[in-house]
Amino acid sequence: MSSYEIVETKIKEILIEVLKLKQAPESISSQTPFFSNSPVKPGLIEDSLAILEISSRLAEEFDLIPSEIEETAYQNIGTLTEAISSLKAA
Amino acid sequence: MDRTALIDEIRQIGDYVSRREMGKMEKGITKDFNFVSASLSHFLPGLDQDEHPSFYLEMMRHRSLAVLHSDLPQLVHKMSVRKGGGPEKGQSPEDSRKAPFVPVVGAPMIYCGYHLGSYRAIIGYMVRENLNFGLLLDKRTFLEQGDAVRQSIQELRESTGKEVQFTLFNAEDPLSLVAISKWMRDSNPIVAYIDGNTGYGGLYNEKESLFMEMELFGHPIKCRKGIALLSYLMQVPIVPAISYFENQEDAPILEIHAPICPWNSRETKEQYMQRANQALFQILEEKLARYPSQWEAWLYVHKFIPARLLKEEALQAANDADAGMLCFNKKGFGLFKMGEKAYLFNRTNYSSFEIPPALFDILEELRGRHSFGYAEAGLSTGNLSTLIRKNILSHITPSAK
Repeated sequence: MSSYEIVETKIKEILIEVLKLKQAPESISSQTPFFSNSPVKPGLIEDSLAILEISSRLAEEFDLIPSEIEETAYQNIGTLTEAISSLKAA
Repeated sequence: MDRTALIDEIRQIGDYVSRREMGKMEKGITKDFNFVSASLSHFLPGLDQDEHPSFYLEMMRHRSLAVLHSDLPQLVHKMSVRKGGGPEKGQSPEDSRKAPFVPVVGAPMIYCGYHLGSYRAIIGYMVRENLNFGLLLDKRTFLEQGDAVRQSIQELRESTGKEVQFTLFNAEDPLSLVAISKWMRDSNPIVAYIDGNTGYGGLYNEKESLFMEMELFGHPIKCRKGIALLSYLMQVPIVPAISYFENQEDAPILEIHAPICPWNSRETKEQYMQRANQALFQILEEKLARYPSQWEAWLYVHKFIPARLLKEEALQAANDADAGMLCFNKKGFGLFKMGEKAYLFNRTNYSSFEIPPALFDILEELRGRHSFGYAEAGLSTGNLSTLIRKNILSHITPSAK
């Protein structure tokens, strides 16, 4: 497993735990948007306050300061994985 | 503006607001009054319903004056800042009450304000003390009044000569929450209101997970979790800051209480949120008991009553009518107009129903005259029995007396 995939899986596990999702990590698409106003295609994160908990858990897990992760990274799992992988590589 | 001119302006505004609101009442444009009155009956049942109109006028006067007070730089300068809470060891209650609060500069904090007194006083305080701050606004205020709020703060900055930095955040935008946490990580405080109105969708459409239940005067009330959750996750204290007027003609008072801190390692997130919000509501309750008409939130507090408490049935009318007479159930219902349309308002569950204007006139007259003989009611037998069955009209029979 590449370091990118390790980060991606860990992010999915954190999302499953915080959002109390009843899904396995591999069944969550990395491209599903976190937020959506569409009632037909809801975003992964329906409770806006959850983002606070997610950013806090991510920072703890990857030994980062939460403010290091830009807001633009919180689009989907893919963008978040990219951002965290870059920060860890720097 | 000198004191005499200020007192004159305050009186003029008060007179104008009273005339405007009384004019609306005479025309039946009383939707807001009906909601406020229903909430007063719910939270402050000790306040006689007959006193609600004068309470409402007083509240509306305060609402206008709160804006005036906050926009006048000289009043921001004169605003008295006091330390809230009980006296410290060896300190008299009076000395404690007058002790100034010393702001902590360069530390992240969540200043929690309330819509009581001069609710913008906390903003004036941040500018006056040169504390950079972020202001959390609900989505509606952010979109509709954001520019006006920016302009108002900018003017305050210029008039006080302070170069304080500020930014506005939409509290309902999830990514704003990330931005807020960054803002605080940079050691900047934020200002948020615990008792603000809600966004476009209305509270009824919001997710229950965003709220927790607290008590206000012993009655359950929904409270947003956001402030306490932010405090817990960021490990940043909440500083309650409540404003009120001891006298309308004086500058507002801003009472700043001891911080509510999240760093008790044995406390769970839920336990902390419960403790923090209860402490915030307790401070509100104490001041509200003393200055009830200074709370603007009476206009929308009904949105925070848990749905399960909104009873289907209207309250029974008081048995105070004469035998064989009809009376309008004032405890259970209200009446108001919006444009040409007339509405019957259920005071126990805050629902409104459009009714024919002719029925509105009859019910309005029944309400005004307290009681009415059957023959005088001017209603068909069918309408009359429906109104009685639904408790909108009550009649007292000799045996029930």
